[in-house]
Amino acid sequence: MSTRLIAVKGAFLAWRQRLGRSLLTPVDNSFLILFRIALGTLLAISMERFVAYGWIQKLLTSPSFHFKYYGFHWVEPLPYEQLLLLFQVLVALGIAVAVGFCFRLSAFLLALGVSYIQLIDVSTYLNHYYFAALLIWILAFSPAHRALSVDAWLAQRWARWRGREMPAAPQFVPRGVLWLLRAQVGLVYVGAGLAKLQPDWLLYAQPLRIWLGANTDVPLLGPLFTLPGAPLLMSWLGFLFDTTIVFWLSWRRTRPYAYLVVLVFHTLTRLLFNIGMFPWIMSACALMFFPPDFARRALHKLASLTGERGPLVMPDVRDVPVFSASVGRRAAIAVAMTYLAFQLVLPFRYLAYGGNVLWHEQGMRFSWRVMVRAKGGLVSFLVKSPARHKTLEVDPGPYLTSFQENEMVGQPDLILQMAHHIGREYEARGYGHVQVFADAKSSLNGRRPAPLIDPNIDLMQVRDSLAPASWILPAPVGPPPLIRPVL
Amino acid sequence: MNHRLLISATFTPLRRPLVAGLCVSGLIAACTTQDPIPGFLPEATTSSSSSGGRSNSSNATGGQAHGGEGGGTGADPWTTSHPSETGDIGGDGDDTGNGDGDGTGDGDATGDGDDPDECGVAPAVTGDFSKQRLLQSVAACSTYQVCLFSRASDELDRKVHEYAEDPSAESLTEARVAWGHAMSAWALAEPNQFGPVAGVVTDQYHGRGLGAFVHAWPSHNRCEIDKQVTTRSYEQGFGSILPTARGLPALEYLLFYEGSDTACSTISATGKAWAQMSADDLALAKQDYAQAAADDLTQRAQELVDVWSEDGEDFGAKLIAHEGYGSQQEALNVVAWSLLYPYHEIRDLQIGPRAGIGDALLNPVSQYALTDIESIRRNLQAFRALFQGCGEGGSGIGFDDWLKDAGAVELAHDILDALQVVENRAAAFPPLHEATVEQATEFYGELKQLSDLLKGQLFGSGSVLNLKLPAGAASDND
Repeated sequence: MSTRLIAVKGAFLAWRQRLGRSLLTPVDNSFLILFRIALGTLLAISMERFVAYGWIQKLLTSPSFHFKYYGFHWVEPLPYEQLLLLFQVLVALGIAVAVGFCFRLSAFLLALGVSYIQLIDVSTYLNHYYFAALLIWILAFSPAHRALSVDAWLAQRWARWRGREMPAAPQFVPRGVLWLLRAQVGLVYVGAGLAKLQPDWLLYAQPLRIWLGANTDVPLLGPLFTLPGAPLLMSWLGFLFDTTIVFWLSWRRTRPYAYLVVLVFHTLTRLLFNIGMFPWIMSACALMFFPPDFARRALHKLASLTGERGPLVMPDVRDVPVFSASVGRRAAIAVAMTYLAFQLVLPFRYLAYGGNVLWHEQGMRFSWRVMVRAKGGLVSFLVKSPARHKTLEVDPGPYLTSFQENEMVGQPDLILQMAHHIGREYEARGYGHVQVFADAKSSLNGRRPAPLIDPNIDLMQVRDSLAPASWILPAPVGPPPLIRPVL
Repeated sequence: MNHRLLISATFTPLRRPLVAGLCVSGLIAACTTQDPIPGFLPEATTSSSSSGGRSNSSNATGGQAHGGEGGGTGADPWTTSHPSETGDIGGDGDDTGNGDGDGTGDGDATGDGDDPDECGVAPAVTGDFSKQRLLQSVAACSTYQVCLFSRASDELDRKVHEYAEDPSAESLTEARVAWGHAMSAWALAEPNQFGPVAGVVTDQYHGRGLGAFVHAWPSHNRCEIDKQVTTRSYEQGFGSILPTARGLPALEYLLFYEGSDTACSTISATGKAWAQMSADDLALAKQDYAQAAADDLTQRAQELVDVWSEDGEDFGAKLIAHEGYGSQQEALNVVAWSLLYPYHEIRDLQIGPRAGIGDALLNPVSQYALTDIESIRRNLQAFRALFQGCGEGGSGIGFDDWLKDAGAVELAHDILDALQVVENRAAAFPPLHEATVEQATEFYGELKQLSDLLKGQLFGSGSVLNLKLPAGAASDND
């Protein structure tokens, strides 16, 4: 081995050691407790919203056909009654996570349940559902229940009952937990920002123009949307916010102001767009960029205002030794690093496909492309039966709910799944081996509809895969129309 | 500002209208010469639904009344204009769909001339486009349309009573013609599926389902009507009587069906009672129920008028202020869903089954008078009034003006052109029950052109106006 190689290896090992030590450095765990309470509560509300708005039936059990995720074709929806029960259980689990009751099991089951719900039908995919699922999985493996939780309280009661010395509630966690969560939140913001780095958004303010047009009746703000240049200005502000907010939140001097901007931004998006719990989740997650003892300091200050200092003692982190690099912790670091690397690459996989990801949608999901496309259209299928010398035009409407159909028309892989389903059905009806062609026209960001799928390709011969799809036609060239928001 | 001020046409909402005779001018012929079954209505005349094609938007010039030459020449309630109406949606529509009414106006859109009765002329809201003005236009148009229907149902009520008091071939014919007028007026009002006419499924904010009591289609149940005829339970009030036994379908059956059989099972209570009644008893019982059903219909029509009337509940003001809808966009969403009527109710439920396309079963709107194609023509007029403008020739503010103002001029023109093609087809189309599969298939194809534009571009995730499809309105997004 050459000296240089030995030096490089040595430097790498030293870096790894420093990194490991840094990741295992103790930090105040109040950030994690606050995060546990916030996420558990928000997920409980999310699950309850699903029940209250009738979405279990509308989105999950009404459809007679479900679009499957690649590799998850085996996931099937439970019957309505059982799904309703599941959602009620998930609400309870969310609360259990928030209060830290049977935390490990509760969080694990909640993560499992939330993931299952999302895997039932691709047409219900939303970035923020996916994000929430990732967060709860991370939380499930974190020591978020060690303090200010029912579990901790029970442990103390148990110790007292057995006459043992009460263990003090741990007040520290390895810094790696904080960094993992910050990285995950940061990836969402930066990913959403980079998704806007494209001409439709930055040059033509689309699809923001269309969406602002639906909000011109919002008091005070609405009329401003109709001003020339307002959509473009807002597009740029949105882009700059998403791409830089992590930096501003990370810098101590700008942090409070940046968080105010976060609150204003997410309040606005909540006001203007129907994006459910996303603004709440992101507003809670942005707190992660405050110092880890932020929550404890805030509570301490609050307590001092009321004259109750008692249990809210501020621990001195300098007195606490670095967490030992046990096998378990080293394994956790390895898993977390692998996970982060995966999350870092996943949003950029679209680069491998070329073309316009907003059009062909290969690499669209799981890449934080939040609110960057307005896509609609129409799809019908031609079923050719050589055995019967027949060609039938098949409307997908009877197979799908309006919601599913609306989602399918812009997503080629869903069109492919529908084509396969229709083909199989006609074959089962005795039409012999059939060919299925799609007449699919899609409009992107206000453009007139253009063919999305090659109408000459028999989709029964196309297998869904991660490879570039030659059966998807290129995106239309030319800019989107400058739709004006109208009062 | 009073929202009605911008409505330039003379327009006074109806409260309890004095019934104007309908058998006037061309209608006299219909009242006296038409053979009701079959051929109660004459062959459709193509001139009747010539339409305005593209009208210039009224917004820049203060509104121009276009066209006006589309008056019907037929002698039936469908092809002859109501005295209060502006003729058919006028204009010099041509076969290419590019009719461009060139009538000039200097501001206020008007109809064919002064209108003597209570409903006035079709109102055209003018001025620069705004969403509020669009809602004003919709409110004014709906008020006008339910007024027409109320007037026609009053006339029907009068004729049914006259027939019951003096059952003769002539009085029956007059009652049938009056039914045709009422059905025609309803076919114009019914596609506006929002507010009081709509069910709560369609308009979850203000739907009241009153439309179902006027015409329950696609539900039909003749046995329920027979049950009322034999049991006379309606004498205790209509509160517990199902919509399928009421309204225009009940009157259609009672006035047009000449058979003496019952649709109920012979072993049912109704079937047994029916079998014990003599022909005279049955005729009398049918006339009695027809009177009661006509009275009920006028009450429902009046209820609709009261809901829309400024002097009543003034639902129009609520709509304009998008009260209860949460936002102006949501109010416009709900209103705009009525534009899908040609897609679902006409294409899929009426033409599709005759062309052998789709899964819907053959289920005519009109089971005995066989007036489906006339209803479709009026449905299309209602579409044009909503999309292009309620005034003559599509003058006034409509969704097309919104598209144009937003910069989607091409889409607005495409929809109007497709509508023109469909209207031309409907005008020349034979009675639905006589149409061949080939004719129905061609009609279906043209309706598909229109509905594809609506479903794929005006609505849905790609909508330039951000109009949601009905089922897409209530879920999260990101």
